[in-house]
Amino acid sequence: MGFVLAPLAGAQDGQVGEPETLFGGSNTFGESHTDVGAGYWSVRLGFYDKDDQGVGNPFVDESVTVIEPVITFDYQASEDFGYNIQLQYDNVSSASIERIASVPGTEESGASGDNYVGIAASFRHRLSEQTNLNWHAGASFEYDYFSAGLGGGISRALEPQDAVISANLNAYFDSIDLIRWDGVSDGDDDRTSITGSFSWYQVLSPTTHGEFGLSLTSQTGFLATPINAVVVEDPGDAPNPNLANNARGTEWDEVLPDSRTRIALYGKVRRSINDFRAMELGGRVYTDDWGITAFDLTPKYIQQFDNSVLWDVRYRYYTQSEADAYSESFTVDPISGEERTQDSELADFDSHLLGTHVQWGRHSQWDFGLDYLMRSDDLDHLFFSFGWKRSF
Amino acid sequence: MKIGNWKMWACFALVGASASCNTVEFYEKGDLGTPVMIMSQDTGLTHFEQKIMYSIEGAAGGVGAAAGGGCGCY
Repeated sequence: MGFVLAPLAGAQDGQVGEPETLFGGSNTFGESHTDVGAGYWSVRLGFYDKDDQGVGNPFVDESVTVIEPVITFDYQASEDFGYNIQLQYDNVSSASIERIASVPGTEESGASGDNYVGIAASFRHRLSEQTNLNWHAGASFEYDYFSAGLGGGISRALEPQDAVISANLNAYFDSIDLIRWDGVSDGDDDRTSITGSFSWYQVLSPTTHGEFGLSLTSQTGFLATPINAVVVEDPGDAPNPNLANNARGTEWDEVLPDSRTRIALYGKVRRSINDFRAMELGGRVYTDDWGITAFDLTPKYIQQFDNSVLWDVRYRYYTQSEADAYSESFTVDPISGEERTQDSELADFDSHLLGTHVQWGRHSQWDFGLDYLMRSDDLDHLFFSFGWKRSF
Repeated sequence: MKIGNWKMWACFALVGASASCNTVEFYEKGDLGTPVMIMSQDTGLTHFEQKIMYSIEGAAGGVGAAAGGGCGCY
């Protein structure tokens, strides 16, 4: 989740003109309104499905389906103060949860699915004509997980330069019950994630604006996934009924470093073709000290069909190198504490995403988005969301 | 003037970099306010998309995203 700063003026409302306005970028939590008493309700239903048909990690079924409703309320209480409250719920059905649930005699054996509940509140204050202050707090819960988040930032308009600069600091404090791949509880642990970011919105020409930024994250604590296992293959072993295709091997706990530093440099530029069409190019370069280097590039085309229908289509190319601890295959029993993972999200792969999004209506606004992601390891993903928003 | 005054150099870098961008007159900015030019999106959609990408990819952090925390693993 990323909660950063609201743009300085009412770009969200889609008003045309307002030439004095600095429109701000997408680093937004909460929305900015020029009218006191203005706001909105929105309801969104998201669906995400990953279908593992024997691809990715060869020993584990990585299928997962998530249904996520999100309710948001946003209100501009005064000229200088507004807030945004968001409730999130996830219903997760995954092969990993089913595996745990099938283990008799464990305290988690009754878990037939995972329910995630989250609440986040964000508050925005206008300190002056040029300066906004935002802060947020939130919490989320799952049966094996609790997270508390806190953060804030400040943005300042540089009027002669047509720019908005923002600096933000976000922290998450997570507590995790270590329920392992075999359903056995291994106590609990915690992790802390602190992200500092700096972003820059810039008007580049009368028809072009862009946003650029840098984020630096430091994580400490338990950073592995407790339900993940590493399988050490041995043809001499008996077939293992817990593994896909009854493979011959033995599961070992995943072990990953207890600290991680991530750096991401990103940017996007949008250019108006005319009043009803625009193009955008976004990209990001990422590296961390686990050995992953990633790059993505996202061109996007946006078109308005009439006063109330907005449509976009996008393509995203993504590539990453594998983490140092990753291996597709293990044949030797690891040394105690040796870092190891077979998590396909930490593998070397690239992906192509095709997505489209349509939005229609004015005060009562509807939208539908559909994305399909194709990975080089054939672990494809489908996700879509349907939203309704009522402004007042 | 001390070379080691980092605040001064930071100010110079900031102002210099921003001043190097062409200033667009206020009456020329109308195109930037059309609906197709709005780069921000619904916060519920942002939450949904970021959470998915966080669970799919090894890289996290970037536009609108805090890398890590706030999400259990599937």
